[in-house]
Amino acid sequence: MFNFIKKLFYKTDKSSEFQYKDIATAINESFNNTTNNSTASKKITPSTDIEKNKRYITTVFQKCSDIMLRELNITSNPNYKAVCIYIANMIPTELMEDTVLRKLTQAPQDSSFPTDIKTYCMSLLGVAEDDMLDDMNKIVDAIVEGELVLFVNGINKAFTVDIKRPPARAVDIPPTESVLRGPREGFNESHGTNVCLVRKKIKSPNLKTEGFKIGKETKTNITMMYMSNIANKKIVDEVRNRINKIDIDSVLGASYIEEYIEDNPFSIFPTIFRTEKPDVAAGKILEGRIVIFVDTIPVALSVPSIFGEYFMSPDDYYLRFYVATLNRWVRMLAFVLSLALPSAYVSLITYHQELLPTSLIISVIRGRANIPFPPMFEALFMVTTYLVLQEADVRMPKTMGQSVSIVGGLVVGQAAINAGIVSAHMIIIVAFSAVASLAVPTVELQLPLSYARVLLLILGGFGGMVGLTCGLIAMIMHLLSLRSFGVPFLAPVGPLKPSELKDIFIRAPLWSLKKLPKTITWKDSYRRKGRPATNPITQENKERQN
Amino acid sequence: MLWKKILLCFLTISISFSAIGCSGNKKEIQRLFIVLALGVDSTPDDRIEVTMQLLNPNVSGQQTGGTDGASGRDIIVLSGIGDTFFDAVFQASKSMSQVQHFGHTKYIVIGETLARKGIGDLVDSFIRIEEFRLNTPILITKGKALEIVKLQTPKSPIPAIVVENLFLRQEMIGYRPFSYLLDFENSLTNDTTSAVLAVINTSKPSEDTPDKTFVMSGTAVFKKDKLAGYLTDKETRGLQWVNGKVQVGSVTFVSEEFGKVSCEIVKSSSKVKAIMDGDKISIEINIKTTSDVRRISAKIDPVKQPEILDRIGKEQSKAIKNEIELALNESKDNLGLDIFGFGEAVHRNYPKEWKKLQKNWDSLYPNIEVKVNVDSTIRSTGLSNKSAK
Repeated sequence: MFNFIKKLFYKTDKSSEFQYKDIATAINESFNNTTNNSTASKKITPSTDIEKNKRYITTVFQKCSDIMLRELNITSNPNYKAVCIYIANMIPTELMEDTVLRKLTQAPQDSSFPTDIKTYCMSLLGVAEDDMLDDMNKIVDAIVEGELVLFVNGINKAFTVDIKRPPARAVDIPPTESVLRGPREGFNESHGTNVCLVRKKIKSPNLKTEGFKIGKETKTNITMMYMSNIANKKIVDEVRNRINKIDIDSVLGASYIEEYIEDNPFSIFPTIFRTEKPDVAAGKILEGRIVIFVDTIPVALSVPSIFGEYFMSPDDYYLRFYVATLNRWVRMLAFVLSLALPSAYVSLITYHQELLPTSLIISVIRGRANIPFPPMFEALFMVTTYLVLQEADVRMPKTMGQSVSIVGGLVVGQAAINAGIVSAHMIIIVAFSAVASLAVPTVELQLPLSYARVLLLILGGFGGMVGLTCGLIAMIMHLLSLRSFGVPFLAPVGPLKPSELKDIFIRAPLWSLKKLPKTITWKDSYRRKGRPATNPITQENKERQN
Repeated sequence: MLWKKILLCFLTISISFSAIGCSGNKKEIQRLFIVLALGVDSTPDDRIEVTMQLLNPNVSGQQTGGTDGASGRDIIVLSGIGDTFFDAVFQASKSMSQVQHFGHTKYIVIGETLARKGIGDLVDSFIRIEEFRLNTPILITKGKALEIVKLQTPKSPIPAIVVENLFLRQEMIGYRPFSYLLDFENSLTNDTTSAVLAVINTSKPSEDTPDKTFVMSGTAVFKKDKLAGYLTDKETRGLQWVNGKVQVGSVTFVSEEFGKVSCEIVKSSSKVKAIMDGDKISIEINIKTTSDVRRISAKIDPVKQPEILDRIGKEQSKAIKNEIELALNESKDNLGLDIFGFGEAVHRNYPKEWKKLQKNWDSLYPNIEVKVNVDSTIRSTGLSNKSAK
């Protein structure tokens, strides 16, 4: 369906495909190209002369006022000149002063000072010989990473110590995925914290984390996390391949990665699931999915994703299963209503008046008596108004909240009815459909709903029920055509797998979900046993009761 | 390849939209005149007069149901005279600012003069116009249909809805026959069964109720498509007992043993069977009813004597049988028209013989023997075991 759009987009960018020559060289290039030195991929060994090294660094970091160079004498001995290089505020000043500088400058505790300054520093900083850097390019990379680099006069290698503590937010409650009973902690902008939050929940060596650095300029850390004993190897390989093939200058958010690796870039439906909560990420990993963390963003991506996933809330697994099942039905109903209700209403009152009960039609006619617009345009007008209000609300400073809600609620709603521009029925329908879209738990599915709603509205307005049905069929066909990393998007409904429906349409009790989802892992595997009898009638129990 | 796909998409959409019937029928709801009731009369010069009760769209929602008795506000009544029904509708629409819509017509009422002249062509029109629902009730009035359509009731601002509710309620009680558009059309095409329609009239104003209201009064019986005569309320219920349609209502009878007894019907069913013995045709009607006692003069104690309920039941059966006989006599002796569909029963049981009988069924019908068996069950005597007296 979108083939011709695809072609339009790709035509201008055909050459880019040939740029993915070799993954290894691509990565190498992206590492090395960044130094604004002409001797890009060539190895530059540091000099034994500390002054030369210093000059090299200051030339590379010309006009970088936040690069700190601190000269010192190790053990306060002028023979052992050294220089510390780091980025200001990446390492807190107290930490620098109290630990590193003091350790290095103070006299050795035991009187026997080692003759070899290298061994002394290695033992003092806890750096192994092999971890010392002997390439200027790598040293520069380490500095921009935020690590502490130490050059000592007479040694043609550099010590690096990772004690960076860049400013970051504390672990906080995620604003978009609130729960009633689940854990409250959410991801933040710090990559290491995010990975650790998941590692904290899954204490197993099978939890693998593979790191990547993507982005020529930003060199953003990306971590792929999966269970090596659960996840399907082919999907893991596919994800790794796709990430490696990314050739991009900067990565500032998860969507930079998402847009490069998703299967259907032109679909309005998301085929990569996002979450802000470590417990959800851990759940996805334990079901055999692969979670991708991108530095600087409090969101994790999870693949492969299926349509049913977007109707699940983390609360489903923390509340009793009857409640969770009912909630899930409500969400599905809300999705359908939000999608089709305005369209159905418009087509009913424009083409199929005989399908409405007489008492309802009387009330609708009276409500619409002096409305100047046809129902379809009235509905489009209201849907647009809602979208504008919604967009304004996201960006609204809190101090202005009152005025916007008064204007939005009273002026647009009540006054529009009184002025006879829109009918009260239409407000009810559009408002309900807008509110219903918020019952869908994932933002990624809420937003495309607006597109689909307007599209169906136009079809319903021009073609009546036939148009609406055509639109819905087209939408279902499109959903059926989607794939997410080799998994059909509508699975386990699309290719029907009845045994897996008990975690899609209902939330069956946890002890009855014995198998891992085969659609994700592509194999039969048990993850837990059924529930044992709580009070088995044994001889011992009987005696105790008596 | 790409252009082929675009062309294919375009063709699919345009063909599917041009092939569907409703694409050209875009009608905005506020530009419609919803016809709530339709009256058809005959003028002295043999033309058709159509009266339409239309919903007045320009009354805002808050004002409906106002207590000021806003007559003529919620509905508009328009009339037109033409050679045919459709012609008359368009004559009436000369004074209409909007298009009429028959999809919500609550009932069609036909005046007696027109009914006597024959309404076959009229019903044909109703069936052909796709907007009419096939389950629209058709009624006959003894006066002019215009009067029924015009009548405003104080109870509801929209009189058509009052009539609709009355119509539905009376069917359950059994005081009106089954009289929907499709059923009427079916019985018109049937050669032996006579069509019947419900009769609606306006009540005469009395001191307690100064306003005129609608009254269901019996049944109109048709010979072919012409009105032949009427059945009274009691006879109508007799007809409805045979059809098995009486679901609520009361049966009151006087017996020597129990005095005056009134029973509430809970449910009833009936079976009509034709029996052919040589050349002699007889019809057997089996009716089963269940009812509760609601009033009884005699002192009874069904807890001690459960068989007393059976005796009440037998008395009730007699009363019901009476009602049926009334309808039977009227239909056989006075009208000579098979309103019960006994011909169809013979057709079902003896399909081969029916072909011969069909031609002279009209002469056979008044002479066939009808056996009525009523089996009444008294379920309870209500909440009380004893008489209050």
